[in-house]
Order: sequence, then C-alpha cells, then structure tokens
Amino acid sequence: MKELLSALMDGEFEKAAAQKVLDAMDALPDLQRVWGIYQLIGAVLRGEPLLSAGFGERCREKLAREPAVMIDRPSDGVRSQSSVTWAAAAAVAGVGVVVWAALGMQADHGRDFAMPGAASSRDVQPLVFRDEGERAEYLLAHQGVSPSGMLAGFSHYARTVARIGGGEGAAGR
Amino acid sequence: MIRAALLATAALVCSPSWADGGGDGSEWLNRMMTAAQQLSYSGTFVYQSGGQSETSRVVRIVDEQGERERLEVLDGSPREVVRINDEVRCYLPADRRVVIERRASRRAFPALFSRISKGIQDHYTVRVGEGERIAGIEARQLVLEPRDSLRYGYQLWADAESGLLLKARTVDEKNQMVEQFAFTQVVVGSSAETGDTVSKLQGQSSGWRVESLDVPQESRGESPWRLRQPVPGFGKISESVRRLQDDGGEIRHIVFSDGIAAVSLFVGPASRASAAKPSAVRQGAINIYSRRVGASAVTVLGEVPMVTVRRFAEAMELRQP
Repeated sequence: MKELLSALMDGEFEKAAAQKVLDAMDALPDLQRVWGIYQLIGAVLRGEPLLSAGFGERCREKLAREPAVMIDRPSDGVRSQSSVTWAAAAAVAGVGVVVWAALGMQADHGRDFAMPGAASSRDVQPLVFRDEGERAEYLLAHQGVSPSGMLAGFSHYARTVARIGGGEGAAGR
Repeated sequence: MIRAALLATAALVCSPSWADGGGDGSEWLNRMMTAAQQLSYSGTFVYQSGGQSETSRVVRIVDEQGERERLEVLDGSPREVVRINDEVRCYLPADRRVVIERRASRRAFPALFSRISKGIQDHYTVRVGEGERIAGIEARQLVLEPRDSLRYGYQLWADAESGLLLKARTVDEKNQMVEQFAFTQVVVGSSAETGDTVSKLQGQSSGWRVESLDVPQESRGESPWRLRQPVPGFGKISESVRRLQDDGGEIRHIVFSDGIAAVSLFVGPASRASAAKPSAVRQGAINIYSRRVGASAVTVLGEVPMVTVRRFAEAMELRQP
C-alpha cells in the first residue's frame, strides 16, 4: 500500500484508481500518517519552506469549510492528474499545511499559502483579456450594478481603468 | 444647486445625525447611499491597491438636467471616464479605445437602486467607529465585518454633515488592505462648472476603436442557467441580456448580491474564452474567474474573495429541460 501512496503522490494514477487509494486511506489512519511523512520528505527534498505548526490548524479549518464542488467531479472531464492529487490532499485534512507545500502551491508573498479558491492552483491559469477594452467592458457592466460601487460613487470607476492592483495575468501594464 | 441643497437639508432633518451618534449603522449606510446619488462634488482622490497608487480628479454635477460626471486619472498614462445620465464612456488613449456602456435606467431595475437593507446584518456586523478628519473634513467611521470568509470587510469614512463617502478601505480576513479610495481634497456642492464634466480626450479619439455595450434587456421568466448549489448569503437580484455588436451574439449578465458586495456572472459564447482550462485574475478588490461550460464561457467577477467567485463559477450549470 505504501508503494501505492508513493505512486499517488507522483500523480501516476487515473481518477478512478486514485479514488480507491483515497478510500483506503479513509479507513486506515496509519496510511494517512504515512502519506503525511511522504509529503514532508518531498517538501524537504524540493527545499520548500515549511510553515509553523500554528498555521496548520487554520488551514485545516479552511479546508473543512470548502464546498464539495471544489473537489474533482466525475462530470468534469477537463481535470488533469495533478488536480486529482490536489483533491486527494484536500480530502486528507489531517495532514495540514505540509501537504500544500509538497504539492507546490505558490505562496502569496508575506501571506499564507494559497487556498483552494486562489488563482495559483495548479489547475487554473492566469486570465488574460483580449485587450484593455474587453477588461473595461466587464468591469463597467459590473460597476453599474454593485451596491458598494454605488456607495462610493463615481470614484470607483478609477478601478475600472486602473493600471495598478492587478493580480497575475492581469491585462494591465 | 438649490435642488441639491434642499435634498441635502431634507436628508439631514429626516435621518439620524452623525454628530450626535444616533441611529444604527444601516441607517447611516443609507445616508451615504443617498449622498452618493444626490450630491454634487469635486475633488482629488487616491486609489491604492497592491502596494501602488494612482491619483485621479473627479467632478460630479447633479441638477435639473440629470447627472454628469468626469474622472481623470492624473498618474501614468492618461485615462478618463465620463458619464452623462445613463451612458458611461471610458477613453483609453494608450489603447486607442473608447468603451461605451449604456446602462439600464433606474426605472427599469428598481431592485438595484433600492436602499441597503438591514438584511446585510445577516452577513456583516455593522458598527460605528471613531471620528476622524479626512481631507480636512470631520468624518465618522462605519465598519462592516464579514461573518464568513466568502466576503471582504469594509471600513468607511463619511462626511459627518453631508454623508458623502470620503474614504473607503476594503480588507481581507486578515484585516490587510485589498484596496482603498481616499479623497485628499473635496468640495461638496456644485461649485464646478458644467464644462468640467466634458471629456478632454474625446477630441483626439477620431479613428479609435469604439466598443459599445447595448442597454441590457431584463430577462424574464425562468433562466436557462442556475447554480447547482447556492452560495450562502448571496441572492439573485437581476438577469439581463446584451447583444454583442461585433458578432450579433449575446452576453447574459446575472447579478447576485449580499446587500453590499455584488457578483456578476457573464455567460457568452465559448469562443471568447481564452482556453479550455479555467483562468483567474485579480483587479484590486475585484476577483475574476472564468471557465468553460459546454459551448459557453462563464466569467464571474465581483468585489469578493477569489474563493467566492470560483464557487459561483463552479456551481453554474444549464438547467435541464
């Protein structure tokens, strides 16, 4: 079974087979501990930073709050093997932050590791608009229906045309 | 000018005063909403996000002819946003582009422009903070703290007399600033000239590409789209369609809100999507997530954390016949 865990960590499984290994881990707590050790070894070998133990609890709480839709679903055929490995880590919440590190999740500078909803997940790529015009179209249409936008008045349109405050892959320059 | 003054006076008489500390936070939020819609003002403000800032000048005139506004970015490449009643134009000289949005009039979508309801207290705790001077004006602070991680928090400072929002900071769950707007200088009242709201870039826009969004048409009846799972705290407030002028297709625009934050779901032809893989980006407090659903591209954006826009996008599906 440990060989199977190792293969799962390396993303060598198809979805159905990976799910079987996950089910086995649910039933055998010792396997969860071994999974955690493998992830830790991987993180150390890759020289990835390990966060303080205090962060792990917060991470587990956040994972527990994540909805089921965030985990791979059979109907979505686009998911890659790497995303299944990510989903497996989320399912084994007891391993905490070390799992995130071993999966190569990108750290947001000065903040905690990216959470499942962040743009830096392996299965999500940076969004690049066709041009500034397309970006402005979306932001303009939204600005007109946002209560907080109306509260701030016209000043909020500065965000629509801003060249600052963009995340990765932003069309702004 | 007289009309604006009468309205402002009526608001002061009928609503709790900031100065005496009376009234609950929801009433003061509505004071601020009223002020934003009914006051004329002009000033300079700084927009901050991602450790950077841009300064802009804004002029707004409300009178018998309606509303006219102009925003001019003073740092970096010239950019301008001009509004005359229900039409907003963005002039982007660096891209030789004019983007025009013709919004629905307030009569067509009354739900969008109603008061901020007390229902927001289901999702935020609303409390009054300390007084502070902002741009030389005595201001009162209102703090909205989210009750869950699906939304941001807000710190709002408004003019104690007029209710005009002077400074607004959006914070994440660690109380770190996501973005901030703050006036450094402002004059409340219509001291500006009408000419101050006329575009300075329109004259050089000959030959620029014009992208125009039609007036949205409210979509009646059952939507072909639905959320597989609702996102807690967000209710649907509108659905409309807009024809795209270049290819004649349509964009469906569905809006959800928790009373303060709004999330827009745009559904259009998949050819507009960049790739089959989901994609995401952030713009200040706005997070944007896009994914393909069959032949359509679903693009979700709103002033909420990335986890929330992604949750909306992941839940979108076509209603089965």
